[in-house]
Amino acid sequence: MSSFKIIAAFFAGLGCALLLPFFQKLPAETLSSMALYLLLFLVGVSIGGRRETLQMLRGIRPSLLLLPLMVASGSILAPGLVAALFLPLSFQEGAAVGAGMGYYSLSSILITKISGETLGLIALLSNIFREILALTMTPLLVRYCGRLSGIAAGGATAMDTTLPVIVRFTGKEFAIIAVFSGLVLTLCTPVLVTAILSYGA
Amino acid sequence: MQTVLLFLITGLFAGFMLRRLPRLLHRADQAASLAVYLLLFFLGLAAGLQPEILSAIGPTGFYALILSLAATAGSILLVWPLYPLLFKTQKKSPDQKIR
Repeated sequence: MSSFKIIAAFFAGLGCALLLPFFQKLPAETLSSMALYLLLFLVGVSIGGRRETLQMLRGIRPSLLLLPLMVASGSILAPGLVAALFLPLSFQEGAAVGAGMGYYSLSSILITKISGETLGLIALLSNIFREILALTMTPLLVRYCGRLSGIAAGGATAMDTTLPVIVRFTGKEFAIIAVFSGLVLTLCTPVLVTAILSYGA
Repeated sequence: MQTVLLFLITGLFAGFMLRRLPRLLHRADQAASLAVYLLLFFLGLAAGLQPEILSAIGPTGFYALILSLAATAGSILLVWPLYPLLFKTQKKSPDQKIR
């Protein structure tokens, strides 16, 4: 039922912003950043207080790079194919949107610069949706689609926004791995988006 | 990003210092669960205040949704086989709560 509660919290916020004038005066961006920092601190405390954490840190090995590699491949290839086959967009455009990995601020700015407003807006919305999907569906995904699915769905956001939810439903022993994967993807996103859109251009 | 890592690392350090106080750590866990809902509410609020959010209703939003579903599904599919490969020895931790 936690998926439902998480979705409800998000849509309560969305509804308040759209319908109630009082909430439109609130600095929502600042508030959400502050809530995120508080949450990351608390997640840090709860991971730092465990004996297993040191073992986990020692467990970081080169083979773990496979995780962000596969997340990136899936995030680029699947939207590319879907765009080419079912949408009035090219493989390249779909792939570039997917390469945003949920990092919507940066990817939408980059894509707007290179490919214009329309694709930039699609990139912004799509990567916001991806973050929302990861936040709200992780409890269900972890249960039915494998233990790593939360980390995969989160993409670049697995190191910050979606980390608390991932830790809670995937298990604390995966916290370091989620941060690692998210960090690698965050660093790769600008490179990948630019590379995909400049290919053949 | 630097701020994100700063808070995370400060928390890790604080948790490490407090590792002999399980009750306090448990409180931090509970607070984190509550803070998740708070964060989601504020994220929804921030999304609702973005002028672009209204374009989510229409073809642009529809394409965006399809692409985000594809990206999520694609990454989950490719990551699936990695679990037995990378974490064969790991057992489910007893303190994993699914509520």
